[in-house]
Amino acid sequence: MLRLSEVTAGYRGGRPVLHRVCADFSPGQITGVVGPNGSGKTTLVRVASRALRPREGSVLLEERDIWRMTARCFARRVAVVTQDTLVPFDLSVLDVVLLGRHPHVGRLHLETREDEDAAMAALEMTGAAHLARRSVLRISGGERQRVAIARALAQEPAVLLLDEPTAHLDLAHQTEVMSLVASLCREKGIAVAAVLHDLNLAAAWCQRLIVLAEGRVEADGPPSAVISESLVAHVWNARMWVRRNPLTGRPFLLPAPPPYEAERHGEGGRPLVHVICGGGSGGPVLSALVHEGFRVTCGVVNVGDSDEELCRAMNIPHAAEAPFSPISPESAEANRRLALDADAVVVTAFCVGPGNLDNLRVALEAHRAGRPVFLLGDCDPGKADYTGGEGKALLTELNARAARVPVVEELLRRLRAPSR
Amino acid sequence: MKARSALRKRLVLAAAIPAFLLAACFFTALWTGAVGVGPAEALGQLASHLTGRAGPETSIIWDLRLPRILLAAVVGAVLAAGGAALQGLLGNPLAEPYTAGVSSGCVLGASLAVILGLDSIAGGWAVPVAAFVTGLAAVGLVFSLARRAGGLDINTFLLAGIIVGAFFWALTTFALSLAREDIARIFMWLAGSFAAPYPWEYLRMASLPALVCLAGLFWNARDLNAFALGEDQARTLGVEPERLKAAVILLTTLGTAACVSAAGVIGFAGLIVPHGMRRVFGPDHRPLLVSSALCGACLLVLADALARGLAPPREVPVGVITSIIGAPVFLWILSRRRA
Repeated sequence: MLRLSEVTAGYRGGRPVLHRVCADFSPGQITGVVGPNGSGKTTLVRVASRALRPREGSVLLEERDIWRMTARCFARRVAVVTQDTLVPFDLSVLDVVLLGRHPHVGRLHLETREDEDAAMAALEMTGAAHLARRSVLRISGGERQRVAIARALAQEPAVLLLDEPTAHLDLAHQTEVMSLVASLCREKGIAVAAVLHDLNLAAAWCQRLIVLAEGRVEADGPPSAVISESLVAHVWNARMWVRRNPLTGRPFLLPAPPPYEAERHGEGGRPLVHVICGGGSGGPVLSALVHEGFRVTCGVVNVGDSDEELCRAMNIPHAAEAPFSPISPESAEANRRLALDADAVVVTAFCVGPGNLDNLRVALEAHRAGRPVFLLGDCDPGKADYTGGEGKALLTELNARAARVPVVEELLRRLRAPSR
Repeated sequence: MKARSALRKRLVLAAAIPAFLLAACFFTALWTGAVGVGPAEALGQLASHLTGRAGPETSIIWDLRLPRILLAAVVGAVLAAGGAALQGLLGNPLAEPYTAGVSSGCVLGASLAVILGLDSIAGGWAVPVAAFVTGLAAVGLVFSLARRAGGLDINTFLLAGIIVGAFFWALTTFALSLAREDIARIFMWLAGSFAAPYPWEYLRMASLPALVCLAGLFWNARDLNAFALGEDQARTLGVEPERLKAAVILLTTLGTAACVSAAGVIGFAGLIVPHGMRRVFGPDHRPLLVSSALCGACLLVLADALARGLAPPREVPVGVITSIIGAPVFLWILSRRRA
């Protein structure tokens, strides 16, 4: 529909902001334009919206060069919502949306009833029909964004360009605007290109992402193919974890914990703590201990378990076992060594099955060897046991012997205390 | 394809009310002056001239008052509509037709022409033509100063207009200080007056540029509406900002230069009339330009009638009257705005 072909562009006198950028915005699809600050996102929209003439390359609308058509002709096909949606005049919302009819109304003609109907329909689509008679000076930021989109829709465009449509909007309005755009895309077959700052929002709503870095297209494709930890690290210079949304399968980002460096940690006499966990129960305590500067080890965790993933991501020494497998003698021995080497042992509340029974034995062994053992969280031996009795017995014994700490903060306080 | 009823109503009101006022002002002005001419006699003279039954003797109504009133109406319409358009284009409530330096340019040209003794040659056309040319030259200078590679910079344009205007005023004052005997004649340019020595000629000279200016501004009225959103947003609605800026500046300059050449510098009309009309008919430039043009005409026709009628047979400069009326009215508008 709208295609940038080998576009090099920049502002007068300056170095080029975009270098040989190719991009294609297809109908019925939201294409997200993402990238760090200063990567050329807004410049790309300005080039695509006929506001900035490329130095080299061309922008084609249905295979016609946009600089060979008049601004009016272009405005009938392409609507733009710029970052600044402020209207400095005391116009009614309806009058502002009617300005969207400008390219369709002849020079000395007046807007007709049909134009007014089109404007009202656009306001209804954006859920802003009730604002029609209000002054634009007296509506909120979220309402103004909807009015700006309604004005763009009144143009009846084939292509809609949005420059940060969710900037300055709260969570509810962000979702509202994005789902509005998505339904327009679906129902009217409009080609939408949106500059988005929030990568999670972009990955959740766009069918395609174009990643810009220093004015070049770094990646282009569906979010699941484009978003990766290495790309985010490379382009944004940010350590993030990429996970899948379990409901949609789309990627989303989480801030990654800082890496654990055994040599640097434990300075100032902080003890070495061994964490016995599993099933995702160890994450919070492991990252809290690392954050507080303790040296940590961990075991036995199954490969693929989120606790094991965390240990690997943070470089925490740990005893690992194959996925969904019972603890083998080798990994049990590794765990035992790590526990006995540590100054303290923490056991988290995990479910006990035949496979990980040995973890409890190691904890009790460490206790017998004189290591302080902490049991973190609430642990009801009857409920956590899936072994048919043996686990319950071990848990009851551990409950009696170990020091019980309800929350991580309490554990940290007790570990920090110099005396045992 | 019927026009929106709300818009049509607004346009009809914006044209009808000021048109009615203008008719009232026209007749009031027709029987105001140093020589008492009753309404019936005035209309009689007018009718006989229009039907071609008039004799060759000079008529106060036909040869003096009518062209004066028409010139005042034309000048008022151009100044007020030009002010409305420039305020919209420059996004500045202080903008008026003289902002770009056209008035000081015109005054310099007129002063030089008078000092050089050109006012008696070419049937009285030399002075207004000289004024017109220097007025255009002043704006041309401002325009070229504000030109950037990316287009015309509005703020630079405003600043350059003030500076160039001040410079031309200084040159005019310098010229005046050298030519004492012509000061009285030049004073009429500085203060504004419709007491032109050749009223029909001046009206004819001002009419064509004025008509082009008014028609051109109205042609661009909806573009000005879109432009009020800012250059970037206007562009997305199909407006070419650079073309619009050049067109509006050229059109107002053309019209204003013609007006100042014919009647001197008449202040405040181009500033307050658009502000008043915006309050009454809203910011849409279509009703705004129509009502501003008509009310601007009313204001100057009335001001000229006062100029002639206040202290006959002496005349008060019309620019003095517009400023004396304009300043308090403008202050009143300002105080209402804050409330």
